[in-house]
Amino acid sequence: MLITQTGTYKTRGGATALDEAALLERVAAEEMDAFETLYRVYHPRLKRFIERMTRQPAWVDEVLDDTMLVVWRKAHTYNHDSKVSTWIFAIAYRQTLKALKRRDAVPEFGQVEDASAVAPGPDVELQQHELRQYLDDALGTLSAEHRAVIELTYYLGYACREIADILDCPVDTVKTRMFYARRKLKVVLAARREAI
Amino acid sequence: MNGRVLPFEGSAHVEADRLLPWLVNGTLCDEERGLVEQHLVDCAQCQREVEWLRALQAQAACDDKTTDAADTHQAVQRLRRRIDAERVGRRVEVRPAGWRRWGRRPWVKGVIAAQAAIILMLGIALIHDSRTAAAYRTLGAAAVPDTRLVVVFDPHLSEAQMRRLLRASDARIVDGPTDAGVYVLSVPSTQTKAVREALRAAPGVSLVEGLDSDRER
Repeated sequence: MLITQTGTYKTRGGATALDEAALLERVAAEEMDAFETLYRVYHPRLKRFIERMTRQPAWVDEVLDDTMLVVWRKAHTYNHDSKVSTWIFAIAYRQTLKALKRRDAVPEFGQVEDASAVAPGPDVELQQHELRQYLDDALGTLSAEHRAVIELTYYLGYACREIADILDCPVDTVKTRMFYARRKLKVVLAARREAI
Repeated sequence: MNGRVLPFEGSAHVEADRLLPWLVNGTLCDEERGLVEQHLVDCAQCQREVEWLRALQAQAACDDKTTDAADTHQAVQRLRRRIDAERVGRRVEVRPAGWRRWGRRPWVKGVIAAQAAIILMLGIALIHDSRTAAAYRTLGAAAVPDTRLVVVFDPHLSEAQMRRLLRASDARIVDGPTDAGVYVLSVPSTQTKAVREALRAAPGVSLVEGLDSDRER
């Protein structure tokens, strides 16, 4: 095994691997370069996760900054019990809930862009866009916690146990939230189909 | 939100149904996957549910918005300013009280001077050591033939697009993706800067950083 001068990356059998845990250790030592790298790696996914949970684009930057500031301050508390990504998304989840609570916000169904504004057409891409818009509207009817489970499962690809770690709840609670989310999505999408 | 937790012990159908979302995203353990797949063979309802969940996953995974590098750079700078301000604030808060208390003791100046001298000597020794020590390399390693770059592609960049980008940059994937979707690329040392700039400017690339910053900067 060869360790580079920074000690951040290791090679096994000649291959180089980005070691996020080691990166986080350097963040704990207040190395700004390591923090910037971690930020750049997580920025796109955290941004989408927070945006999908809050459905308030104007808040995203602030919640994202709050999340990464907690990562910066609490990096020394990371204990390797979970993956680094699970640890960071758990912080993002808590910060997003805090932001929602702070603003006492219950995002409304009507706040999302009206799907009817998109002109229908034969183009497949446009149909896909419409379909996504319907789903997006339907997701808007779910609670932030239910949307988090959908997002963590289908976009970020986490296992049920990992989602339970991120949400800090029992596995059965995750399954329950997913069950209700699926049921509600079906009802809303069916109603939408009937309305068309 | 309904806080009631449903009990999931019960019929094989109910248990399989609750696990379907994670069958679809491919994260069930072998034992659970075996049970669910066995149930699926005879359950038309669950088969339909899997189809609907796959469609849901395909739609949910779509990402209309891509985060460009400039957006990320701006965000990093914004947070960096916040952290720097916090650090300065911390120094301002800590220094007066601590400094005044210790500054009154006459022997403190002597101790500080001695410490400074020791730190200076250690520093000189360290610089000398780093100049003379050979870099640690494996026996088969070639003499710095390439440079490693850490790259994050947009999650929805197609394989063909990624291949085109890598070919145009004369880069090879040497590791990844990690859990966070990070790849490590090997590029010829002579072209590092140009490749890094080209990748940063390319659509579908979220992050490009040097792995051995000392070598490629």
